[in-house]
Amino acid sequence: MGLRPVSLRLSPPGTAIPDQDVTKRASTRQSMRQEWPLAAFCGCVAGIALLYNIFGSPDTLYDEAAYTWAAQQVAQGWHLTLDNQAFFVHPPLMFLLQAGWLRLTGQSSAALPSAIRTARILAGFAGVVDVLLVASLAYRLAAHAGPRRRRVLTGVVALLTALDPVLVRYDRQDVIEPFALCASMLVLYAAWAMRRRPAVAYVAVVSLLTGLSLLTNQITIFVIVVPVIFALLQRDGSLIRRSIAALGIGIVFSQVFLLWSIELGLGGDFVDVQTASLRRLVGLLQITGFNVPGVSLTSALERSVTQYSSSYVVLAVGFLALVWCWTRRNSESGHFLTAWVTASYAFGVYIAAVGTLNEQFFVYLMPGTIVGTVFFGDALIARWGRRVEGVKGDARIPRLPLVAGAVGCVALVGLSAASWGADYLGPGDGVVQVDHLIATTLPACAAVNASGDSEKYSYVSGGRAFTSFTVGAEALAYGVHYFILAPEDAIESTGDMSPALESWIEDNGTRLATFPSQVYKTVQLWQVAASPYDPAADFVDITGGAFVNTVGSDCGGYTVTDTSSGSFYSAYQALGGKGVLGAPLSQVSIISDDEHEQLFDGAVLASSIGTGSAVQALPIVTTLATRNPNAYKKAGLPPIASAGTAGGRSWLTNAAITRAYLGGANTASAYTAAVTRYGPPLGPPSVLAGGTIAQPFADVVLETPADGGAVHAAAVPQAALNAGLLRASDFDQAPQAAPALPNQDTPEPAQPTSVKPFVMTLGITLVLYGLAVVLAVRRRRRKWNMREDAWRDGVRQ
Amino acid sequence: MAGRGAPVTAQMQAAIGGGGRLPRKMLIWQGVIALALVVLLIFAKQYVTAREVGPDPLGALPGGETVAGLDIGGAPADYQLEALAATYHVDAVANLAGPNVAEQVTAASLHLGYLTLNVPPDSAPTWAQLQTLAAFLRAHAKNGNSVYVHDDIGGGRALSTACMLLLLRGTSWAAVQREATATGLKTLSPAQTQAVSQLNSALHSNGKSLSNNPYSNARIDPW
Repeated sequence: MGLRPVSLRLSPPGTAIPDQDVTKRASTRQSMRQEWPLAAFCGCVAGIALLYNIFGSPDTLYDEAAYTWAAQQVAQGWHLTLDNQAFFVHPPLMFLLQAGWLRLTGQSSAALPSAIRTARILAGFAGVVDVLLVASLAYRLAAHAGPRRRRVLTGVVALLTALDPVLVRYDRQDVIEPFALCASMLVLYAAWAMRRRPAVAYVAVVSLLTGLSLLTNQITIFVIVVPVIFALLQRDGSLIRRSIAALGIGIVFSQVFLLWSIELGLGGDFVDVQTASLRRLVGLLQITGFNVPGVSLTSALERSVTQYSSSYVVLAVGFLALVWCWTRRNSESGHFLTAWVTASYAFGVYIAAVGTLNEQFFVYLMPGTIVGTVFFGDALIARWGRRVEGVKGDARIPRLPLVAGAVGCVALVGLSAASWGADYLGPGDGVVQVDHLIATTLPACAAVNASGDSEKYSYVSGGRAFTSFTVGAEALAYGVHYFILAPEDAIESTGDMSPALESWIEDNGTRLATFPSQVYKTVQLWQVAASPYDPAADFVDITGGAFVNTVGSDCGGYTVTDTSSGSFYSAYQALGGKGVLGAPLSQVSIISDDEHEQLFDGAVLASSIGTGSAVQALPIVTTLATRNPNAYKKAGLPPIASAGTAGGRSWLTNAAITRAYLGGANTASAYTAAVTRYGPPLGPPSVLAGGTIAQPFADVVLETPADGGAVHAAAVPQAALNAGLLRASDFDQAPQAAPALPNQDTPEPAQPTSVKPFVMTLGITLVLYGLAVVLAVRRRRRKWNMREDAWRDGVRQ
Repeated sequence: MAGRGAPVTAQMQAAIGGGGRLPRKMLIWQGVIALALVVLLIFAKQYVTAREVGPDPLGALPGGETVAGLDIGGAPADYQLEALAATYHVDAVANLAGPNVAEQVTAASLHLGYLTLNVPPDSAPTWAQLQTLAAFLRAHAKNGNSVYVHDDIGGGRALSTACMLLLLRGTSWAAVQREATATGLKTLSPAQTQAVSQLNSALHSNGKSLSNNPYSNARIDPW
């Protein structure tokens, strides 16, 4: 508007030519007065679609959690980082905007779920603006139509944009897309609205918006290139020069991002990150999206058809609009739409066929295809109408095409509305809810295996570490018993989750909770329990032995090692290891000056200085049975044969127990070795209450289920502790810390991450840019004055 | 078209394509250009797909490399083992760093063969361990599949074992040196260098008795 005086003086004074801009301004005012119900309708539709239940759905994605966290870091101390490294994947503008918003609302250091809710409000409003910009541009492009038809077209565009499943999905979250789309739509709007304004005004505004758009997300280049394509289609040399200049200046302007990295001394890192991003976009590096090897695009489309059906219809009809545009003569607005739809499909077809096919990229395609679809429908109705008009001589659009158009429109809007209702009317924040459950019900030490990406859960829970095991059995080996399962992650094989892991969790675990989530098709928390006698669970090999997790999910346990106190690990393994003796119940404890003992579920292992490092099982069964027969009986252990009863090897009558006891064939030498290991048999096998078959030996009671199965030692040491035969105070039962889990991210080396230099450079660039524009305007005005004076001189003469 | 030539009323005007169909010649040209673009896209797909790379699971492992068809490196996490199976057709894992229950159950879950040998740090496998490894490789490194041989850090144990297995297969010492590279061989401990040398001598002793060579019984054993 600051350029108005220049425009006013375009017409030589004294002439009666009406000023186009004044007329336009008056017309715009009149139009705004007349069209406020349409604007209100569009605003209400967009507001409801994008803001209703915005806290409850959709569920949080990694990007949303990470970006909100990053914005909080900027708000707190100007640091734009996720992992100690400067964040060069995306330009900083959106993060600065969100940081300002979070600071304004006092959410800079709030818990992330709360900050995400606040950030979503801003993102949602940006989404509303997106819808209004798309609708406004459609309104301007539909200038050919009568007022009523123009309103209908605009209203339909607003409805379809506000309810489009792809747009709504990403415009309701704190991700870059709502802001980037907003910035790129401003470029299109300005380019169209100012196409007939003086070059200085056009370039000044469009290039600035182009630069800001690229500083929000570089992928908007596929949208902001539309004015150049439009100018080419128009074959308007002046417009071509202006639009190329605006794009070029905008690209140069966006290099503030590069300058920031150089200011931080990280130009090389910036180039590496951006090169990787470009390679991903081109398709040379496939690490995300539906073109990653092993991910089926067809099955992904099939799965998402219920949610995205209306978007697919729009994309299909939009393609017909593209063909229609290119095969027919067009008006100026038709050329603009052709450029818009062409850019959208060129980008869409390339990423679908070759490049990185990320779902969120479709956000940039949908506005053009929606407007194209609606205008194509309008063109078909108009064509149909003209045919009927030719036959009947009636100037009005006949009823049948109108009804057909209305039915198609209602069906499409209905499809979108149904999808919207299914996705956003109810709660769908499973990630936040499961994190809340974990934080409030599980101990802080409990390890939980994430579904998909662990960082998302970690950010939302305020930094709690989640594991990322892809194989359930390995997680269990490391003592991890809690698993988050999001079925959609399994379907898409996202991160650590896969159909195999999903099946393993479901086959072996118990579901503790299920939370709604349309994005992930529920978020579930499972617990997979493991027997203390499972040799493959809670057992981590460490130097000199093993660590056995005994407390919760990786919350602590005991080491069993060969040390100077004794070869406890070797003895443990010789006696069958965890599969037979179970888990340790204590650390190696000093019982007396020359004696160390360690309690296990099924035995007490002891070393004494006199025997070197040799460790053997104590005759705990004999001791308990003889010193405290009542406690022995009360513990439900098998009866011991009367003293003097001949038994020995002849008592080995149960095949499973005999095999476990002898460790192989039933030979005399094997029996002698077994007696050394477990002590001699103290009686024959007995059937206990519950059907378990058990047999007492001097050092252990071996038991096996009646229907066969693994043999393990009964919990005699615990019975001895309960009976006071073993003093609990003699044993160090304080759990030891578990060794570090694998798959844990190691912190990256620290880099300078302050975004202040970016803000300073951006500010200086804007000031210099403003000065350059003012100078250009003055120069232009001087030229105009000279021409005006010359004209006046000519008139006088 | 009905009404052609008559002025079109505002009601009937369309924003796009309202000016009627383009001349036939122009449509043909546009069709040719569109076809050319489709062909270009197909070529781009071929070109990009041929150069497309995903994350390299072997390269991501410490010391991860392929030495003459043997994949060696450090201890893999479960996702790395999965990726190795998918990308490098790894059918089995030989662990030289001693027992590892977690890795064993992971290998079992992924239906991979598994072998644990306890080769002490800075040492090389014994003749008996080499025989076990050769038998293991014979069973799994076939039909285009490979075996991932690893120690804890992708260090000298894995590299010396790879060199010795190659020698055992009948690969010449010069070829082994070329594969392992001089830089790689320099990372071996003196004991490992000596063991590789002793095995090479034993395999080329032509029946002469070699005193104090723990690999004196070694014979070429293609796997």
